Amino acid sequence: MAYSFALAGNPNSGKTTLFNRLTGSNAHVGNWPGVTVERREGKLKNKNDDITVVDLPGIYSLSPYTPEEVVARDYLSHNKPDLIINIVDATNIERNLYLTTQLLELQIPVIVALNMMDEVKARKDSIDIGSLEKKFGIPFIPIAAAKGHGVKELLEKAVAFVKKPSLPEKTALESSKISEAISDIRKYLDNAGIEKTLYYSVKLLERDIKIKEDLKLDAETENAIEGIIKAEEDKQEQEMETLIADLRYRFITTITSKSVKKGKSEGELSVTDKIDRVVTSRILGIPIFFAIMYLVFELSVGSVGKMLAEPFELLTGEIIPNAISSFLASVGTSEFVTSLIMDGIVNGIASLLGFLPLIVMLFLCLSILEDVGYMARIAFVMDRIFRHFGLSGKAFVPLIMGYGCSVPGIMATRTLEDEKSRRLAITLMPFMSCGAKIPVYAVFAGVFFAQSQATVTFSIYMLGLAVAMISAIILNKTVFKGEAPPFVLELPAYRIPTLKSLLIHTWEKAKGYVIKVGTVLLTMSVVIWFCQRFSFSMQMVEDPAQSILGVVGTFISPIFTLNGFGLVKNSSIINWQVGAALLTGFVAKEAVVSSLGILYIAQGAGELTPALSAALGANFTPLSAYAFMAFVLLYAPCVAAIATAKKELGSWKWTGFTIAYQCGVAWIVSMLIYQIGSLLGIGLV
Amino acid sequence: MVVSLKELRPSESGVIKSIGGSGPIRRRLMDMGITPGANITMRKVAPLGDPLEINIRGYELSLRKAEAAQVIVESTGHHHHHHHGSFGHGWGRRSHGHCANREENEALYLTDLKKQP
Repeated sequence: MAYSFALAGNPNSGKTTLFNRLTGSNAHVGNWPGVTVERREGKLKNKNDDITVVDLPGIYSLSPYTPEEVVARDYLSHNKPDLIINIVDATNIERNLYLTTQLLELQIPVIVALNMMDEVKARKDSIDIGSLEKKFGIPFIPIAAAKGHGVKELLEKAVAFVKKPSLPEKTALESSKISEAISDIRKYLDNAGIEKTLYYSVKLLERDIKIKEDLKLDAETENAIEGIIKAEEDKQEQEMETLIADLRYRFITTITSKSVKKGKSEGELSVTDKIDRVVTSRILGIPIFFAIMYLVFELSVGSVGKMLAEPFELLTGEIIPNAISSFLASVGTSEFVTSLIMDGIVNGIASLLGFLPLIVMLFLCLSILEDVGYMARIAFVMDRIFRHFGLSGKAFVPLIMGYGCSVPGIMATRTLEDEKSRRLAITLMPFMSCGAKIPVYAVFAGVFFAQSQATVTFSIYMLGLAVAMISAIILNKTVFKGEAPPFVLELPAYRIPTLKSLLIHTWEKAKGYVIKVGTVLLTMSVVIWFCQRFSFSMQMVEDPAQSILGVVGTFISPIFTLNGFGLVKNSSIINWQVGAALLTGFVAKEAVVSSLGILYIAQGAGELTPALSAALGANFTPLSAYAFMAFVLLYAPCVAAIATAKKELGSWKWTGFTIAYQCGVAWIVSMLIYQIGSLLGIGLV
Repeated sequence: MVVSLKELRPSESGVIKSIGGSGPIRRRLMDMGITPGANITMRKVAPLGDPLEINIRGYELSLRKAEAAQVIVESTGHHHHHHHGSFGHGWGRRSHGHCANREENEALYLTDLKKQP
């Protein structure tokens, strides 16, 4: 038989670990339609039946306030899985069972996987599973997902249960003092031909506006139901939303007070408490945070990361291309084909793969921080600073990643709770000057500010930071207007992550990077190659000024007249190479320098040669050079980052907005630098 | 003594009386277990002075002072977490009942912390 299971549970309850245990590594990772909430689906390891299991996002409740909760409840109420496996953290049982009371109202068979039972034993606590099963009216299976204990039994019980399903006689609210109101509303819903009347009647009682709109009841029924709710509120002398949450928790504590026994006395400190006394303490909290961030930065984009990347770059940047080029020479391909393969395709792949070790390290570090439980502490420690910019403390992590590469930075915005913060962080990302822009600063500062190279480069980084802060403030007051995201965050117990789940997380993200970014980067790389060598009449051209890129460059460069670098210095000649080079910057930012080399002096080494130095000196003034550096710092990131942003934002509208905003800000800031500098008479010669 | 949650001192406990405010934040607080009648203990204040860390229903939850101000609690005095040494016990007795002298309690709390290994 074919069945569909849904895996539901609180965040930090070990849901993904259990999912990996149940499905092995043959899961398909995607997004839920329209939102950036991850969707995992896999086949269950079971020989006799064909069972698909969907991993729902981690949620605390079926309320409609986070995209995760909306996705989960829409899936459960519209797709009607045959069984819900509800994973419950046994060490945090009260709050976890709160979701269970809600899942049971969906009238879908529920089986509880009572996870972390190994920790319960280690703490010398005890849980009377038989009594939980009796009181809730559903099976409870003790497991320890991280160790794999009980997973086989869970699978067997789940398969047996879905073949002979049963629902509890009475759910928490049906056995409470508001049961009459619920059955009264159910009668109206029955008459209106609605299924799952228990779930919908509770949602209506809670005055869930979204559900009310979805149900499209006629005015008469709506009024009658509203009458029932009002009467019940008067009778209970309490507003329904609070009362329902309260009744659920009372139902749970009545049961757990008898069936859950604590081994240790209340006041004793847990391991997590002891760690937190240091890690989030008043004095050490911030130094420890910066030390950990420094370590992550070093391991991924810093010296350790570079050390790891070097042999890899040698392989993808030299050994393999050289092998391919000598192979092409031995076969005797035409100059055209050789150039297409070498400059178009191989270069594109090399620059993609060159970043791979960095990405893998970064995601390994992030997965460790997340799985250990430190990510929530980051938010706790840094929240005070970031809230002024409409972000939660968690935003620090993606933004600092941006200094290495925007792509993983944008991918890491997934750890932010709400859509608004994600959009804002993604918009600000390029202002965190990425590693690929360093060659641009090195060459320009080297030519024009040789005496104060470090200071000038540092000032560019500071400019990025200042623009990011000002942008955040402005955007919060305009485009991202609205209530600040609430900060109600669980600080989960520290746990040692399993190697398997770390590797699976890292692998999934690295794979996603290679596929998404790879296709975009490769296409772009070939397109730019083509535009550099062909004219609009599809003729191969020798003079780059005649090429498509040259013509487009001539067309767009005048935009930068007010910025000082649109025209060759002290002249009215269009500095077309600048426009063309900025376009190639969309492939990769370091390409800006190598393109200028090719276009000015037909040398594209990307390093500062005397010839390039002379060419730049002839075309830029120090002031226009600085304005150019500012523009490169701030304008829209490379296509790899744009494609990632599109994936994370889930819409072209928002992607388009970020690109337009970044380019607009870049133009304005760089123009102001040039105009104010000109007025003050700085750096004109 | 009835105070707002944000006024509880580190390691002071209370029983929740009511949850003010409205909309999503209020709902979220209740979903997380902050409901009338539940016990709540203030754990600590973040290094930069906000947010707060509280213990509710056996787990640790962080929320901002602005949100905590909406939650009204009846203080039950210091829930003393670490009964080590005689000083701790004596202090525990003293702090039960009313918290008339908060500064004194805080000072004692800090001295007590320093005594921890």
